Parts: sequence; structure tokens; C-alpha cells
Amino acid sequence: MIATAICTETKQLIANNTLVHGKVHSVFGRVFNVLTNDRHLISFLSDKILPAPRSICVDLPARQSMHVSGFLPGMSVAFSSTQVCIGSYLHIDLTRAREWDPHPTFNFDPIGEHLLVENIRSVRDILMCHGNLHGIAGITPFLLKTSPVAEERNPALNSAGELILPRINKLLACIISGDMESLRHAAGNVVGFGPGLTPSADDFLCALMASLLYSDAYYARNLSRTYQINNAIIGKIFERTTTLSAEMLSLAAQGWVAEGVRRLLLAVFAENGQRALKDRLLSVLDYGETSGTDLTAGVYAGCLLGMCLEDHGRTVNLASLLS
Amino acid sequence: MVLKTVIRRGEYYDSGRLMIVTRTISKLEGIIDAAVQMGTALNKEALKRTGLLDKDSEGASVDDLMISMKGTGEGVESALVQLDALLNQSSSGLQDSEYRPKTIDSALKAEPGLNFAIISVPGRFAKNEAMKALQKGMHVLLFSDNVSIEEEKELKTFAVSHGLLLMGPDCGTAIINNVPLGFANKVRQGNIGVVGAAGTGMQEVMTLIHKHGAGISQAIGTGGRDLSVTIGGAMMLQGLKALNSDKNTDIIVVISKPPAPEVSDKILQFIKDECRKTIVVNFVGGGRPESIEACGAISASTLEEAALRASELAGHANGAPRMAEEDLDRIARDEAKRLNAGQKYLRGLYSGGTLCYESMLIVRDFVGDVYSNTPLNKQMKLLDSAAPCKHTCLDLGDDEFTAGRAHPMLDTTLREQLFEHEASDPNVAVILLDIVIGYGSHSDPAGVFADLVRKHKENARREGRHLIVISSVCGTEEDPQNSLTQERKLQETGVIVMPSNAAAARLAGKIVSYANSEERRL
Repeated sequence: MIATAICTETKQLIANNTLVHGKVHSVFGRVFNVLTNDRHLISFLSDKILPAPRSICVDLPARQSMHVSGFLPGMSVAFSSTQVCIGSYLHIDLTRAREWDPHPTFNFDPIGEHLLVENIRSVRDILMCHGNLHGIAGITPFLLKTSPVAEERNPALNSAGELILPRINKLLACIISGDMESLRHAAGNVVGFGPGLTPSADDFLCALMASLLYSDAYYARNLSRTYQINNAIIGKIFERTTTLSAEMLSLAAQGWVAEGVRRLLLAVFAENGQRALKDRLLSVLDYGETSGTDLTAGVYAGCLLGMCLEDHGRTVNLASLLS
Repeated sequence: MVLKTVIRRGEYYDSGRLMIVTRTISKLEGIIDAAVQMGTALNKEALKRTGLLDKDSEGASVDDLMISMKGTGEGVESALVQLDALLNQSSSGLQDSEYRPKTIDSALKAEPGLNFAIISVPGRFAKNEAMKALQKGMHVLLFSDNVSIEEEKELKTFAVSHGLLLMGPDCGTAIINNVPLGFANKVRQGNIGVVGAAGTGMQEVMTLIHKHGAGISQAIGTGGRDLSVTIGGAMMLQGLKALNSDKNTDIIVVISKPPAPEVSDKILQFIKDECRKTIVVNFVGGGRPESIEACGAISASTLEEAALRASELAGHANGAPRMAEEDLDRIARDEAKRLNAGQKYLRGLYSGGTLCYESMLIVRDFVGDVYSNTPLNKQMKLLDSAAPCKHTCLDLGDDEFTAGRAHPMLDTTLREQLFEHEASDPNVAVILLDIVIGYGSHSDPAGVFADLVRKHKENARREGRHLIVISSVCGTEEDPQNSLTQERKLQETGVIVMPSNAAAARLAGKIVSYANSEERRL
């Protein structure tokens, strides 16, 4: 197998001999994860998926899964600067991989605020139309609304949504108020909720944190307050969520997200025109079973919140703006 | 009652699969509740709320999979046996190697040779999705409704200019290369092609062709507005072109509710000038037979006749039971005699729009004008569509009845309620029902109505009335519901089951006509 792309940070870790040995942690259709001996998680993605932080993309044939390719949990993994050896016979050639930089892209030309509102509304509408709402994304229409009116309730608000919605709204309220201790506590009541390896609530939080940073860049705000917010959100994640998810949350707190999500955020804040936005949205919605939809819900929440912070917390205006 | 938790250390599955496994286990016999998820604190909290938390789950770590279930000892044991098989299926029951794309782009990325898209998204998004597929060179079946006629025009203009099919919007049925799409039946493969602007009309013709022993090459739906002046029959012409050049098609059946006259002329002119194959035309209740025949096509007055003519041309017309007119008359007289003096009216409760339309045309010849939510002429439109009066036929698949609920071919609830209402009306003599089966339809519509018919026939008998229910089953013995089983269920409760929609309507018309005749009153 040939690696087509590698995250610059992963490449650096390999070059620094930080990554020596590890084991295959989990295997899915188009992704497998490796946990190194020093607890770094490296994701190997099909090259049909855009790169992500700590990832290596490989040339997996379109209709072939990682399982079929022979990757199994527990296999030993050894990294070198030129290749990754998995088990006794699987090799991934790293020499031809292009580098992908996971750092956030803040040097974009911001669009006008009325276009931003239009884009945020599209994110919500397309998510509700095309997304898989079996995670928590059914809460999207009710975010930042303190008391959803009964008739307004979307049938997509499943039992997971009912449980998590008040907690997420509480978390959003803490971000607005800037009460970091309450925020840390509120985040602890959200993190790790959802059945799978990357729980729905964590996907949501990852995108929320990254979106807040991009929103700062859009409004030319100082990023330090948001870094403080994000640190509060991830303050209680360890032992409250899975190892893989905790790693993703830590990276997202710095604005490191998958390339698809980064492109989506740039489309929201810098694209004048709905076509590119919709294409990028649909591409993110395609992630996993519910992950893409939960991520998109987080993008919506983060963008909304970003506007709200600029508007000094006047959520009522925003709700009417986006209705 | 047993509470059981299994902890699988370091075992990982995606969220979708775990949700499906949770739902599947919860539905197993003897299981009251279940949850399959990672051992995070919040997931444990959710378990506590539902009474599924025990010492084992309390001890699970964030990277452990917790399988929790509550039920009878036997139920839990049985669920545990099935657990691995359930976990190793993906969320759709497909194996992991089968990737299921969520967008047209990702589908094309995975399978670059794709040339056909079925689109079923809310109407306001449908045009963009359909256009995207067309621009990528794909034929489109657009199942979505609520697409404006201007958008339909734009899509079809593009499709025609690029030699593509845009079936729809609101295209309910098609069979392409022997693959049934949308609401469709399992029919024999053969040399008869069908192109139609009438979903259940196409299903009726195709299933009757199958019963005659003939088969279908392709069936192309055009969407109900295709033969309007605005659209100009764009897809009907495109479909005719496609079937005309299809080497597996020898005979073509054209089905539509009455087209706009200028569009009808255009279609017939095309048939005359371009088509090299034998064509049977049924413009249900429209189009003059002499105009159709003048262009070299064969005119059929009903869907039943269209199927028969096409099957005869294909050398197969011996299979389907047909009822002689004298037999219909005999049954009608016998049934009419059993009605009491107050029972005068006919009520049709249809799930198929074209079937409803055809029935009204037939019944009108026997009983006069028929009220409807989709009437043959505007004067007969019901003021309140859910309140039938005198002779009425309702198309329950029409938009006003399907807002916020599934189509009546799938969700029988509304039709059941209306049946109960009409069956209790002392003025009603006959209730007509269509039973449309096949892919996408209710799993046992006859079973649903059999119970109701039994109950209301008995009620009517106690009240000194004779309730007549007439039906026909649109489907084949190869459909998942099996037409023969469906017919038997209806017959066992006293429903008169006719071999076609047209025959059912004729019988109903005759019964009501006899019931109201001078002869009977004397």
C-alpha cells in the first residue's frame, strides 16, 4: 500500500523517533487507528477521505474495506521514516506521501455578515435535510433557545437529543457568560455521550471549538479567550470519553480538525455563494454513520455562538435572524 | 427478571452499528430494554436512568464496550447467543466491505461508472440534486414531489438536450433493466415496454401483462405533469425514443391521464413519424380512438384492455382470468337484490390515483356523475375531501391527504378510518377498494382490510343491511405480499375480488345501477 498524504505533525513525530511501535486499536470500513506505545493515536484513512490531524492517507481501492485489506485489531505496528509495517506482511510506503498541515487557516477574506447569516442558515437547513439525525444533531434547531415550544419540536429530537439538549444549551450559556468553572463542569456533563468510539457529543464539541476559533478570525477578535474556553471544555475529558475521542477533542481545541471540516468552515466564513458551501457540507455529512452530521451540528452551534459573542450575548436577535 | 451486562474490553464499533444492535436486541422476545455503548460516564448515567446500570457496567472503562440488557432469563440468554452476529453486521446489514455513499459525488467517486440516480429528498432540494446528477451524465428517477413546474421544465430541457431520462418529479414507479424502482411489482421480463405518466396505471398494466403470460422490457415513468402544455410531453417523447431503439422491446404501451390536446397531437405525430414498433395507447378517458388509430397505434379504452392488447401482440393472452359481461350482470343483479331500499350509493377509497380516475370514468357510465377530491370535472369536486357524499371516489394518495403522513399504499391508517365511516353509512351500497402491492407497499394490505370488512359486514347484517365490498389486487404472485394470498384473504371475508380495476369498477357500477333501477323498485 502507498501513503498518499501524511499530517506534518505525524511525520515530525516519526522523524523524531517518537513513534516507534504500537498496535492496531480499531478497524472500520475506511479507517483504522493505531495506538502507539506512548499513547498517540494515528489514524490511517482511505484516500477517498480528506486528511485529518494525526492521520496518514492510504490508497485503499474504492470498494475495499480496511478489514478486507487485512488490518485487524491487535496487530503490531512499527514506524520508520520510509514505511509503516503492520503485522508480518503489510507495509505502507511513506516516501511518496504529500504533507498536509493540520494548523487552522485563519488568513481568509471574510464575507459580509448578511452572507454569513445566510451560510449559517444553509448549514442548519442542509444538515436537517440530508444529515443522519440518529446521533444528537436533531437538537440543532433548538440550540441557544432556552425553552423550545412544544409545537416547534422536531420529530428528529430522539431520546438522546432530549437528554443532551438542555446540557448543551447550558454549556453554550456558560461560553457566553465566560464563567470558566461552570463551563468546565457543563462540558463534563456533555463529553462522552453517545454509543460509539467517537461519541456523538464529542464530534459536536470538536466542531464547536474549531468553529469558535474561526469565528474569532472572522471578527478579528483576539483568540486567547476562545483558547481559554476550549481548554475549559477539554478540562475534564480524560476518563470521561474514549481514548481516541479524547485525542480528537484535544486537537480540536487548538483548531485542528479534518480537512473536510476546515474547508466547510472556510466556506461558511469566506465563500460568497451557496454551491461550494453545499458541496463541502455534503462531503462532511458523509463522514461515518452519524459523525459527519454531529460535526456539522457543532459547526452550526459554533458559528451561531461566534456571532452571539460579537453581539454581546443577545441570542434573541440571532434566533429571529436565523428563523 | 434478569439484568445482565457484558463488558468487551477494547472492542470498538461505529455509532450507527451500535444503535442498530441496541434496537434489534430491544425488540427480541423476552427483552424489556437494552443498550450497547462505550463505557463513558455519561453513557453510564443514561443506563442508570433506564435502570440498566449494574455493578459490571459501573466497572467498565471508557474504552470498554458495555452490552446491557434486561429481560427474562430465557430472553437474555437468547440475546447473548445472537450478540456477535449482530455486532458483526453493519448498520444496514451489509458487510463492512460494502461502502454506502451519502452524496452523489461520493457515490461517483466510489463507482465512477454509475449512470443512474434515484433522488428522494424534500422538494425544495430536489431540483439541485437532480441537476447535479444530470450534469454528471446520469439518468434520474426523481421520486420527490413539491418540485415546481418551472424547475421540472428546466430539468427536462437539460435532460433532453443531453439525451438523458429525467423520470418525474413525483415518479412513483419504473422498471429499468428488470430492476423494479419505487413502488413497483415483480413482473416477468419480456418484450413489452411501457412509458407512462400514471404510476398505478403503469403498475396495473404491467401486472396484468404478467398475468397474461407476457413480460416487460422496460417501464419508464415520466411524472404526472409531463403531458401538460408547459412540459409538452418532453419525457414521454424521450421515453418513446428510448424504447423505440431498445432491442429488447417489440411492443410499446403508452399510458397517461388525458394529455393537453396539443401535447396529445405531438405524441401521436411522433408515434406516426418515428416509431417503428407496435404501440398501444391508453389516454385514460382522453384522446379520440380514431386519432390514435390514424397514427398507426392501437387504442385501448381501459388499462385492462391496454394490457390485453399488448399481451395479444406478444403472443400471450391466455393467462389472466377475465369476466364475461353476462357473469358480471348476474353477480350484479344477485348482489343488488340483497340491498335494502336506502342503500343507493357507491364509495371508492383508492390508494392509486390513476386507478381512482379510471374507476370514475367507468362508474360514471352506470350511475352518472361521481364526486371526488380529484374529479373528472370541476363541478364534482367535494367541498370537504374527507366527507364523501352521494357517489364518491377518493384518491387518498393525492397531496392533500399525504401531507405529514406516508402514502396510503404504505400507511393504511387514513383509509381504514374512512372505510369504517363509509361502511357505517346506511346509504352506502358498495365500497370499492384498490389493493396495490409490490415493493414499497404495505406488507399486508389485504390483511388490514379483511379484519375491517369482517367486522362491518357483521355490523351491517345486524342492522338489516347488506354491505358490498369490491376490490382488485394490483400485483403479482411473485410480489413479496403474493397477490394470490392477498386475494384469498379478501375473499374469505366476503369481499368480491375482481381480476382488474376496470372489472371491479364495472361491477360496482352495475350493482348500484340495478339497485336504483325501476326494475328493482317494482
